[in-house]
Amino acid sequence: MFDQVLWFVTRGSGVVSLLIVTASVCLGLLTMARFRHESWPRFFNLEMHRRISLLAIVFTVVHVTAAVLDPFAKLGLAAAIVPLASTYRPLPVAMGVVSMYLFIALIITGLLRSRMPQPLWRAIHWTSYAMWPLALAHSFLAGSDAGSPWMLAVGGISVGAVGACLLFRISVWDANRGRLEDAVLTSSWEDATRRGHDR
Amino acid sequence: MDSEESGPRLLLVNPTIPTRVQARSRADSRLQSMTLGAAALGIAATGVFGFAAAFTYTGSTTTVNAADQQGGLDGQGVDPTSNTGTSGQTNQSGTQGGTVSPFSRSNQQPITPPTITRHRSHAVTGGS
Repeated sequence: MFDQVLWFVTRGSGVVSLLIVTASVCLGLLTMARFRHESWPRFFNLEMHRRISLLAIVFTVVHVTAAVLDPFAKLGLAAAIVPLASTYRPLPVAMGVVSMYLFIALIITGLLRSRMPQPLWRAIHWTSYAMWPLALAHSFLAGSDAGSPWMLAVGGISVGAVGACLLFRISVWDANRGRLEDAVLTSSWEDATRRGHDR
Repeated sequence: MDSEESGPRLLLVNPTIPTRVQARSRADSRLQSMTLGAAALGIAATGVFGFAAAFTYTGSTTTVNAADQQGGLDGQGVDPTSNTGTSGQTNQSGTQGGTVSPFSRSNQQPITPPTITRHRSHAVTGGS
């Protein structure tokens, strides 16, 4: 019975990890886009981005631990930490492993952001654009539920959400850049912000 | 003059007037409740998706044949999610292939020579 529970936990936490990572990526994009709403202050984006990211790590750890411990899957510790070490669908599993490492790097550098050069942090943070597709591909290629309607719905929601947030981010790119240039030129952030609000 | 001096004092005394501190406190508690809600939702969703995965799995690709069985016995490319010792299912069936519902594990025969036929390999029912 216990191994069956582990099997369920592996698959369930894997799907939840994907959804939470998707939410984290969306919140990161909204943070960069400086999104806000009357019921959603702008600083909520960054705060929830951080909190949701930490939550995603928890579920990812549960997913990997359950997969390693599950006597039915017999994945093995090596397959969970070394890319391409798995005998079961090596490439898709490796995608998940690499994605996990990228995510851990993002979390660590996020926590150490104030102690590291900003360009380095930004460069590492850009790898999230690779991390999320890898996680998505891992979900569909390594999992055995790829053909299930509910899993297709999960994938569709994930892709749709990230795509929408990315489009929003791109659409406000020029406006935010203009505000930044105003701030630099006038050396007055308040003036620039006020002007940005007037636009 | 009087009203100007009593303004800040009123602000401190009157609890109905929202202050920046109160707004910040409310925002913090809202963030905390959203975080806890997300965590609880995640735990619940883990169970829901786990059961969804278990119940929607058809097991239709668990049919084994003698050649597959032989391959599994050779130990080449054994699918670790299957305890039947078969191989080649993954390649044949794409993303759905190669796994067996844990519901069926008690019904699975141990790895034996290729006496297993196509007719007795239905994973969920255990076959007969």
